[in-house]
Amino acid sequence: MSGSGFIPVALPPMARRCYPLGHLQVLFILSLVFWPLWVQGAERLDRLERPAVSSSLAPHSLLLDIAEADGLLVAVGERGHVVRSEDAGQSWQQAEVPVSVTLTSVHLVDDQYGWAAGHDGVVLVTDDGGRRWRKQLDGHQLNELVVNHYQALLQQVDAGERDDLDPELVATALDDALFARDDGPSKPFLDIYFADRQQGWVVGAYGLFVRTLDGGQSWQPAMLALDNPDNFHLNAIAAAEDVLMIAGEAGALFRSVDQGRSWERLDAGYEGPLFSVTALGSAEQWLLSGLRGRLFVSADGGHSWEAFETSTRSTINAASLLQSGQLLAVGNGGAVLRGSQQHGTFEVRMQADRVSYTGVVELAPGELVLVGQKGVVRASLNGLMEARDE
Amino acid sequence: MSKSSLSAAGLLSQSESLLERLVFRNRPLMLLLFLLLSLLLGWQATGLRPDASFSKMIPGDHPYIQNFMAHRDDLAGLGNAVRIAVEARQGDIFDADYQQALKQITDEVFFIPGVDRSALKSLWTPNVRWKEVTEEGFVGGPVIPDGYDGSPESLETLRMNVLRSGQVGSLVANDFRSSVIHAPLFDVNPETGERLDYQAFSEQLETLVRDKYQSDLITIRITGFAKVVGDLIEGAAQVVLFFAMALGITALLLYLYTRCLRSALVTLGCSVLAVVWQLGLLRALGYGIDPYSMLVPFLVFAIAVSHGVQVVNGMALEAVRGADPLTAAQRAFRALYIPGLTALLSDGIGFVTLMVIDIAVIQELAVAAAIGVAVIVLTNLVLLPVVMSYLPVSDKALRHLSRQQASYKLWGWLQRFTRPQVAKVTVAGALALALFGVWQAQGLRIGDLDPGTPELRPDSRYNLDNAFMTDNYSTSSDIFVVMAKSAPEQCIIYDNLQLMDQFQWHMANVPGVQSAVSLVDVAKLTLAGMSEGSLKWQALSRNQYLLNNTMNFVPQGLVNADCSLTPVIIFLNDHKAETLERVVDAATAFADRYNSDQLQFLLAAGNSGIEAATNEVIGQAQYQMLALVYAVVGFLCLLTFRSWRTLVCILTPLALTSILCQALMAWLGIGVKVATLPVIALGVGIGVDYGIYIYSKLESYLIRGMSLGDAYLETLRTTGRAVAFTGLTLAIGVGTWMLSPIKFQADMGILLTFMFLWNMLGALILIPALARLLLRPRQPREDGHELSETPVEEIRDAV
Repeated sequence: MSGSGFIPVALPPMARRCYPLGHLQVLFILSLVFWPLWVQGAERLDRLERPAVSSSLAPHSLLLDIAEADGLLVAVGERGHVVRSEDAGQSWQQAEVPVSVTLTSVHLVDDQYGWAAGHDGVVLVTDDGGRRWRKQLDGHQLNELVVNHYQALLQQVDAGERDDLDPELVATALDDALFARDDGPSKPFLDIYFADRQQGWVVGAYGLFVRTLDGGQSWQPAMLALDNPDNFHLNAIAAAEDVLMIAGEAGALFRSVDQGRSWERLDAGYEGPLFSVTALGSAEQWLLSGLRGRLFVSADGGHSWEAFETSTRSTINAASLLQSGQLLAVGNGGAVLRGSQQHGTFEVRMQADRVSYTGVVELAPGELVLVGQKGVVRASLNGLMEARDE
Repeated sequence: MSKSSLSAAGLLSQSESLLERLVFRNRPLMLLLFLLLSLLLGWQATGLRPDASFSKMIPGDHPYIQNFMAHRDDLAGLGNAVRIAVEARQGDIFDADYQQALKQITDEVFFIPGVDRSALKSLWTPNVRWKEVTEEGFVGGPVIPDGYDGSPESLETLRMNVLRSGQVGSLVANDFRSSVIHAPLFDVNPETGERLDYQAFSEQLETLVRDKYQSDLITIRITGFAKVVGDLIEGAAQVVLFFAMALGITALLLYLYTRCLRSALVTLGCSVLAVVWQLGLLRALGYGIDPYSMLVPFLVFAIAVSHGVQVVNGMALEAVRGADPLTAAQRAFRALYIPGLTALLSDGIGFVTLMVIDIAVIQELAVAAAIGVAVIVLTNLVLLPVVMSYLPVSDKALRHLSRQQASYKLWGWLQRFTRPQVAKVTVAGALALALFGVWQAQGLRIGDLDPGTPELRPDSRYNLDNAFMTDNYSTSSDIFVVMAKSAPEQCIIYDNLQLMDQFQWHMANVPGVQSAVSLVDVAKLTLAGMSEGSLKWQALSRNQYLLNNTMNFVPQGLVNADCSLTPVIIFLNDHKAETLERVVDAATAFADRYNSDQLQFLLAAGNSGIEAATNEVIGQAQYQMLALVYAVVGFLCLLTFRSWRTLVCILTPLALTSILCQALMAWLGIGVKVATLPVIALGVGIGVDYGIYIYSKLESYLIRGMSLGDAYLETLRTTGRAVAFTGLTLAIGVGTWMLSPIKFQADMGILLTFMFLWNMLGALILIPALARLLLRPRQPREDGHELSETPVEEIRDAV
């Protein structure tokens, strides 16, 4: 665009001499004249700057997570899609979202407040029941945040104020953070949990872990709180009572019993990736899911785990405790599993369309809303279990 | 003759006698010359080969087509393939006998020349694999398990492998009752350098696959461009049958009309000779014959017969008055030379206006038809009278003619249209009909309207096979391709993929679009796969290293060799013109906004992309061509008759027919397309003949001082029968096409038949009515003739 380079240099002095116009007016007029050129240059926005396109296809394309609070349903997915429903999933409206990155998770604390997280280090917030979303954090800010955090830590360590930290570890982390900053906002968040309107945690790829105590106005990196030296992906976070549980790549499993101030590492006896962690009604009972239909149940707060080899080979993406006390898990290739904690067996039903499911909520006993590859699906438990046994 | 000596006809009549002398004084020499030429061109015609070239059916100068042609090699994996569905009639595909048959058919297809063997895909080819993410990483293998033996266990493993392979919907039907052998073809055989012979290939598919393996247990279904072309050529071959039918019916009608075997045979012979000459000349000029131009011989034959009939009719009239054969022939020649030439010239020029349409098949059709018309001048205006001068019209025929002339009640009825009141009502009625036609024609659509392959009938085997594919597999057969072009090695960079992703979503939201697929989807799926199959990673990463890794998984056809061109494949619900227009508008808007040096979105390839370009060209050419054909025909009429009133008289029936033809198309759901666009030009070009014959006769009687009523009755008595007969022969010549298995030939048949019949009726009814309203009464030369019409009774008495 040689034209726009030429104009500010040549014209404004002339314009000042001839017409009583200020710079801004001149620029305004010029921008009108050269509008098409200007638009073309400016249109190609990054997905972090580009609002999600409003589309009737949004409720029917890839959705990755669904949350429910006080009768409000919100699901999030690719291209910055956020859809909400107030009528138990019968009709869906697309929300206003300022980014078009893929959103991987959503959490509602009540029917007004909720948070969503996704690729490029994005965290969004809503305070009007999911109609409009605002960006609270993105990968650029996150990268700065992490670099500043480690620089400050390193200074504290050098000043001898933090004996609890290994100086070498902090130095390495700072190097990685500087490298990541050059790399751009490339790390995705994978799951988000808010205890209330103030306290929240977000986990993500390469060990990414941040928390907020002020409803997302400020964020603190918390990676060093976890014993995760290999920076394994952290795939899921869940809570029950005051206990928080994080599950991740290569069997990574962490627990906090003090609202996230300190974390301990647990072992489920599994080396593969864990994709979901679900509290089963108390801080003692938990369910983990992994690759190829693997499920793990603990009845003692995560100290010991019982592994279930189910008959499916599909990855299980999400699980839920039903109001009947049964467990429901959904996964890739149309996998739907129903089991009981007591008997430790799971019935597997592969849905005929083989659409992958990524999340499920139960609204009334046996009445479900699922999300996945083809968007939202309303289904009854009985209907799903009528499918062919694998 | 004072007025006519000023006209073009008058000027030409000076040279007429010279020409007449030349022709009739050297009759033996003329006959020898014609014989030699016929032998030469007949020999040439035997070398004519059917030819259905894809590139000729598309508008070569349209920017979409140029983009497509420029990148054709890069898109090779996309287009030309046949899909053979092997359907299990009972049970499903997980059956030992079925798999055995599938294996055999796969082997059979592998060896058919023209198949790209390395890219052949079926459950039994080693390139179809399943893949799964495990704790240890990717695992996978061929879909057919190692040690497959047809046992229930190995079939169960096969079932699981199929489910894991992700081929359900593409290689395996959604209901598991059929599976597909996907055979990409070489346009040019890399070993021999020969072009693929579609006809031979299609035949081999029929004999080696369908005929051999179709049974009580298995149904074979084949789709693909190669099969369409094969079926088209096969269907077009039936044209010979239709030609024989047209010939037979015309011969019978000719005999019934003339009641003279000699003149009927000579007319028929000269007309067939015109066809032979036309075909011979086509071959000599280096043209082939394709499913479109295949219809031209019918037209040529019909036009030749109609002109021949005028000559024979003229001779018979002279003979009734007692002229000997030679004089009769000479007089007929003299009387018909000018109107015949004018009519043929306007036919020919009407066809030549088709040259403005930038689609090679239409241009070749125009050339073929123009050659044909030029040939008719020689065979039927020159040779026919010369031959007939040796063969007198039989007495039986002459008796028949005078009886007919005297007793034809119809002429009296038609004469009514010259009465002022009837004329007014008639013209008002025509106007109302025209308005009705214009209103109906609002529904006229550009392009093809039926699903499937529009060249063939909706219930043809090909279209049934195609419907089976669309019903049972998750792929549409209407594909619009936009080419995303970048610098070499740049197709995979994040910014470009991101913009392509944005483009895909933009297109997916256009009504009528089912889905859009490109390299971006492969990258996303692979990224999820590399992250242990987690859907949360199914998004474009900003990490270029990760993106580069995904390139290893990109299938053939989604990116070219140097990573500078990636097709965005857009699947459409249908190929209606509105759908295509919406898609083109949306894609163009996006391209205009975002195209840069870094990445350009170029329209368009895929069958729907090509169709969109064709529709654009046709939409523009439609009115351009109409304007041109009317201008040319109008100019010729003006030149011949030197009167704008005459022009209105002759052109109005044509215009009415054109409008009604469009209304008929809208009503029958026939779109304006490559096949139907020429119809109106042909209809107008040929339809003007009736007007010219009738009007020139009418004028000659008016000049003698007859009243309009008398003049018209006399016109009808002398040439009316010939005109009616002409309309009938033309309608029969093209009417047989309605039986064609090729949809567009049938459409052309319906429309041309309609136009020829309506043009004839319009000429017989509207010309006298318009003449009554438009022509100024002349001063009578003889006493006793009133300027007003003669009462019908009086005429009847006179007769």
